[in-house]
Amino acid sequence: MIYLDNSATTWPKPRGMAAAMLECMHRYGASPGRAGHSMSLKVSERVYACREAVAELFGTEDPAGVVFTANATEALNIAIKGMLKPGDHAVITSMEHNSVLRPIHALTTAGVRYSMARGNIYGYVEPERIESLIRANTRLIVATHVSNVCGTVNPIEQIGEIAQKHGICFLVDAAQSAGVIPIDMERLHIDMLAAAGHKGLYGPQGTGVLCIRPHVNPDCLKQGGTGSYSEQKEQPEERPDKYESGTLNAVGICGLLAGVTFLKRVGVEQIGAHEARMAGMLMEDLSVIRGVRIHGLPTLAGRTGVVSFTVDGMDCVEIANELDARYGIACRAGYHCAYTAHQTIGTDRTGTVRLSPGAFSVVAQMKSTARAIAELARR
Amino acid sequence: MDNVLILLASITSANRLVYLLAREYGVHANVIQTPKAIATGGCSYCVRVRREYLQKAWDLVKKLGASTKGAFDERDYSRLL
Repeated sequence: MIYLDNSATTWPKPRGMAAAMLECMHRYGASPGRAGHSMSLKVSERVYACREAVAELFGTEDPAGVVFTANATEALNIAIKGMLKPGDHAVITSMEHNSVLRPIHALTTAGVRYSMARGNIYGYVEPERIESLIRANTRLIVATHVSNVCGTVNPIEQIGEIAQKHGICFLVDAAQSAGVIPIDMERLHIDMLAAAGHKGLYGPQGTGVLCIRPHVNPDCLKQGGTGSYSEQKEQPEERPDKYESGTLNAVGICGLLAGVTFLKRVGVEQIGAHEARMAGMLMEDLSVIRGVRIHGLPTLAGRTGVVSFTVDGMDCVEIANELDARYGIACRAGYHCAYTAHQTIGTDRTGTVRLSPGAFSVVAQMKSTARAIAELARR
Repeated sequence: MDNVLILLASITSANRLVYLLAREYGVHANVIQTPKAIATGGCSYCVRVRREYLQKAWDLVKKLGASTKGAFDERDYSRLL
């Protein structure tokens, strides 16, 4: 199998990730932060080690502000619904995934309003467009760092500066950029950052993080047992407890720690460069196939390894099905849970086939994939 | 060994203190179950550290803004801070 669906979830995982999970499960798979016995203390220490590793990875000063979630979607929901109140306004971009658009849209029934900064045909959103939409009651700016549809990198540094200038909270959806592009929350003026644990961080499914800077205090989405302050009826304010009611996915977090350790060993920039090389090969080979159109930016500059294409006269789902059935190539076709992004880049009628190489993709696989697409396009 | 126990409400705060003591001062500390003699309710953890580092540890606790119920002598559980 040639796996080119790393934007959905990375595969394979680094050696040792599964072993880390099994070690937890077999040796100290107790509930972290719920008792004082040695197994609980051991697993709690591993969970904390993961907070430290993630905080260091994203350049945030407070490991206690690293909140573990089930995925990036949950992280975004906490951030969005925790910050916005009736009467507030938010600015998002047209390249957002439904995990941003849907919770914000749902809040309109509660009196929240939002404006959408439209990107250009390449999926790039000019910072000035975002600034032009700010109102007196704008409380949150949300921007995806990298489009899950076409890999275009948004100018989050400039957007962060705009947010800071106007005193507005800035939330970045780093689902596609975490582990691929270095991120420093302090330097980039990012107030909250949501990431999936199972994509570029090479952890297992069922993990995600919301990193919250110390000066930001969103409400929590759920209340319950935190293993702390049991005598009080109110949810504790101390983080991360405030946002982590219920038993943590400690086994998954141990796996996530192994993934982040892998990133640290190999280097985020190195992985990003590798994926870009793979994408570059794909783009070079696909661009000479008659009928194939590559969407998003035409060169590697300003984009990551995500490559979306269409073939004239062919249904994109059919292409993906053929790639899977005939050639053993795994990819995703359709709208990728980001319909407004497809509207932005002009593929809302057709959708696209998305190829997303990862850290373990190799040159031979890109060549085979291009050959397969060429054969399909000729039929 | 002449140790003290710093009583903290949150496991995260406890682990964070241990990390900071190691990183900033090269001091070894560890998280233990809260002894019954000083436990107030079921939800707390102790960071055990040598007495000579009590003030450094206490200063870190205050800097972190962590909720603490005090520092105690490990031998007789007398309150120190």
